[in-house]
Amino acid sequence: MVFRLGEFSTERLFLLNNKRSSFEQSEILEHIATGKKVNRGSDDPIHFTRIEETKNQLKQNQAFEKNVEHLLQRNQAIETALGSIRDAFDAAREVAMQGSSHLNDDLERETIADEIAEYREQIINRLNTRHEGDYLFSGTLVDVQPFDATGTVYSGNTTITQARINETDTIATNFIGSDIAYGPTGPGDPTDMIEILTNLETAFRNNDEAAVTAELPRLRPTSERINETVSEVGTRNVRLISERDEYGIFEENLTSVLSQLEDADLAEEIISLEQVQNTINAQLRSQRTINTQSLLDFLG
Amino acid sequence: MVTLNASLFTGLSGVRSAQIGLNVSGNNIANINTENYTRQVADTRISGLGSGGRLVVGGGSKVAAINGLRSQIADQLLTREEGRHGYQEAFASGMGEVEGMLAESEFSGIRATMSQFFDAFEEVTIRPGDTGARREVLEMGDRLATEIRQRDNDLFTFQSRTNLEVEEVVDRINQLTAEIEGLGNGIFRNGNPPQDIIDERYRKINELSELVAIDVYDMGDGRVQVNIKDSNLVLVGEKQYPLSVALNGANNNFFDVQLDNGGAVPVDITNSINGGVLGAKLELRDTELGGLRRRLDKFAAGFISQFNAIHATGFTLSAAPNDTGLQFFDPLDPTNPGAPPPPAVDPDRYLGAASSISLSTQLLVDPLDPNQGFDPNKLALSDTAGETGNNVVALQMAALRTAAVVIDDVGDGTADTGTFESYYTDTLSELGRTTRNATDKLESQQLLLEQAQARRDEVSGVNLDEEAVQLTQYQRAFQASSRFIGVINQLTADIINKLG
Repeated sequence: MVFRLGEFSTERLFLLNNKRSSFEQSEILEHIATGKKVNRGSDDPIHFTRIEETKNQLKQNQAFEKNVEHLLQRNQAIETALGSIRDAFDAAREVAMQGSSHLNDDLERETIADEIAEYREQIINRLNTRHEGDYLFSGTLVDVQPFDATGTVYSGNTTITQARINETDTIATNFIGSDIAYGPTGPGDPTDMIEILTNLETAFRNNDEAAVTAELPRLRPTSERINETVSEVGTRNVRLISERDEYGIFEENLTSVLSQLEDADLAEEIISLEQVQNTINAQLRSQRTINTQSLLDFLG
Repeated sequence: MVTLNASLFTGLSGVRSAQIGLNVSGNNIANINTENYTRQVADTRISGLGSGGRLVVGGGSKVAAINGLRSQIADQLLTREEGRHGYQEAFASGMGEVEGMLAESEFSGIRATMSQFFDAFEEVTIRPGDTGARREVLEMGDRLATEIRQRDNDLFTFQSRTNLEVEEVVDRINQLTAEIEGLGNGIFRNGNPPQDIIDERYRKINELSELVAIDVYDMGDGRVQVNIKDSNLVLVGEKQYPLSVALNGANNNFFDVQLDNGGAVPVDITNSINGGVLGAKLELRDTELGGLRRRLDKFAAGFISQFNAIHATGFTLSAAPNDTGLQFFDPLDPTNPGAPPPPAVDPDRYLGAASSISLSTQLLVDPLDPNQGFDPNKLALSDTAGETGNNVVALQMAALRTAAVVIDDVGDGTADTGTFESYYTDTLSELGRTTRNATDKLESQQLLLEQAQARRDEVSGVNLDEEAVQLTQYQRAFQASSRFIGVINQLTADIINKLG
């Protein structure tokens, strides 16, 4: 069947197809320039929601991971302070054990009392440790120095703070100063290290052997309690490190998923670009050929 | 008996017919680029009956009419596809622009800012007493509110621009219907008008159909009746029925479209228009942009109500009366005082929330002097007064990032969907889908339009090869008739010379 063709039917068709090819070319160039094949919702409405959700998940995880990192840094400060307290107390304990011997003279007992006082002062200083401007052991009253110079007055509170480490879980972020210094029941507790060290100092200064002997049984449980607290920091760190590692794996997986969904395959894009350029060349060449032929050219 | 003189006139008629034919071809060639031009042909017929007695010889030829080669079906098909194309092109182009307005990058856009805002809250849960972390929350809250306001304002600006375009399109429609009426009446009075007038009317009808979807009926007397598609609303028949616009207070004072059909008051036909550029503009303005802004309103309202509800219970680091009960964002109520009380459903309950969301003035250092900025101490992160390191309320607000039900989509005053991030992602996703559909439909429509154009060209298009052949034919006819006149002239001279 023969159809009539308007003079510019082929031109219009060429123009339509050429526009499409040019648009396709610009899309490919955008993919190559941005490295992504999905730059807006209309590029891939089916996968767009998943891409956005994955990005949101990544951002959330990064925020939690930052929390974890921050808590690990803080725990490091807590661990250092508690380790120092434990070391000071253990040193005081050792000095007290040695001082309890009958062989020590008055001068030596006075020296022992001074040493114990220094260790107590060191412990009180550590109990007043600050990290990034906040007191570590004053509960939620982070701007209040928890212990006075004697260590017998605790000005913090007993509120445990929590931090989010994932969507559903929180972890305790602080240790209460009074628990560390005085033990679970507060001042006068059998493991009240301030009281023990104060009593020992006084006993050594007064050469009160009975008083020294009376305090010695309290030393080991107190030391064990401090060790437990230090281990608690370790336990928290293990949990945090485990979370951090999981976030590392999540990030790798999510980034991989995201990459599959939105990243442009450069080799594929370049081949597509070649193809569309060939198409455009063919369109232009055929158009030129058509334009050279007309009956009018043959009329004299 | 045919006389030599009569033969001369026979030759002359051939010359004249060929000359007209040449002119018709020339006119066709000259209009090769004229949009929707209809190819014309000279209708050549026998002239007179001659006077040869029993040997009847014709009296030459004459051009009885110049006819346009048109097919009503092909014309109507093209008119319809032009209308659909007008709609699809205006709609797809508008949607592309809207999608561009809400484009997201890693660091800008509502989604990115919202993410930074929640990140700041996570940070402050770890360091609730830190002034820098507190300041960051306020800064990000302010940026998020600003971002939502700006995007809403961009959408509103586009909506307003589209609204003005509605008025312009209505004006152009009135011009066209007036012209169609004038041309129709010209054709009616003339009875047998030049083809160019019919073509001109066809062009006007096609332009009109691009602007608004129409049905065209032949009235049988040379005139046409043009209706709004699929309705009884007449735009032009024996006379023109003009359109007008009227402000609609219930719709942002945007224009409704009215038809003056001769009644006491114009008829509102806004909802009857669903095609052409006008239909696309109305759909963009009211359905797409209106819908997007409504979703942004609900999104903003979710932030306002959820954060305020928690923040107001918390304690700040400031002294009384600024120690508790402070709002995080300026409250919602003033934005739509007309909303019915919950649980009544009102889709427009949160109208204006996106355009007005801002960090609460209660958080300013000095509410009377906004230039001093926001006071980080007025951020309520604690559930107990005076506890700098207490982060209980901060944790509650940070948890809103993953809270599943935070937005009232129904409009009954109760949150029914969420999260914030998923709601906004759905909004962008829906926008992307609509834009993609519009682009795909436009692409198909371009092909359909091309096919309709080709179909019309099959009948009405000018083809230079054909015209070249026509030119040759008429040229030869002209030459032959001229030669015939020369022969008759010679014969006449011969006879006269023989007379001595």
